Amino acid sequence: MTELEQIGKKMPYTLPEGSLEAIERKVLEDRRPAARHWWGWALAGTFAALALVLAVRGTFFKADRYEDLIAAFESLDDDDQQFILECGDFEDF
Amino acid sequence: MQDRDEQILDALRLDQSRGMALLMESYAEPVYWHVRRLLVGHEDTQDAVQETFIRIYRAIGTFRQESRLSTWVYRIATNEALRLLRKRRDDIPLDGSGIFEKEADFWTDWSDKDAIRLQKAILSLPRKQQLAFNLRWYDEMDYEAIARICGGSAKSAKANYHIAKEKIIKYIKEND
Repeated sequence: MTELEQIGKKMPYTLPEGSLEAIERKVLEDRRPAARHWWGWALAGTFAALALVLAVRGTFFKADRYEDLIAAFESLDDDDQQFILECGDFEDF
Repeated sequence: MQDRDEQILDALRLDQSRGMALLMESYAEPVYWHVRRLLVGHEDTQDAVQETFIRIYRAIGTFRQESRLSTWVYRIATNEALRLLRKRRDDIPLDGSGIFEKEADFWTDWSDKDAIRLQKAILSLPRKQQLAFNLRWYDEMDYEAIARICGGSAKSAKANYHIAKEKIIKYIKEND
């Protein structure tokens, strides 16, 4: 048996108690939608009414999926754009 | 794990928060140790793991099941750890022992000399060999999965693992 096999999977590290729970809590809090104020609901209502009117006129929902995709990508911040680019294929590191 | 992944994906489809909680229940600990072996210090690891799951949460809708959930999660975690290492590169010595001495913190067990020697040996390896060794030795992944996480082919993952293992055995012997 080699010395490596004797050591096995032992690691000289300890995990402070509660660390994983703290990570889970922070991740879930980060993604929880913020409570909407009254003016947020008003804005959403106005937008929905406008969208309905425009949809009826057939001018709002274009079937140009590529354009939509580009617009959605451009609306992301730099970090998220970089993340999508990194995970879109297998880079060699 | 495959069945568990199916459960997680089903839960994510029905309720993203609940699905994410299940995903973290399954993966937070193995991902933590994977990242810790690369970064050494607890606090950096905690930050990287947190960022990993935030990125997963943002992108979970884009997961198309072309790869296993586990390899996708590990790939994101690995990228996050490597991003931190790239940021650090300027102010640490390249030698693996130096990295360990510099980054080891309060949550390091200095009494376990053998385990320290093994980590120093791993940290002295080129990054691809380090990753191939860690994912095979500690996480017991197959070469196909390692290739998906690190890039390259299953054959090169296998070669990297065996070269790494030989170098580690030599390092341990020489630093007895």
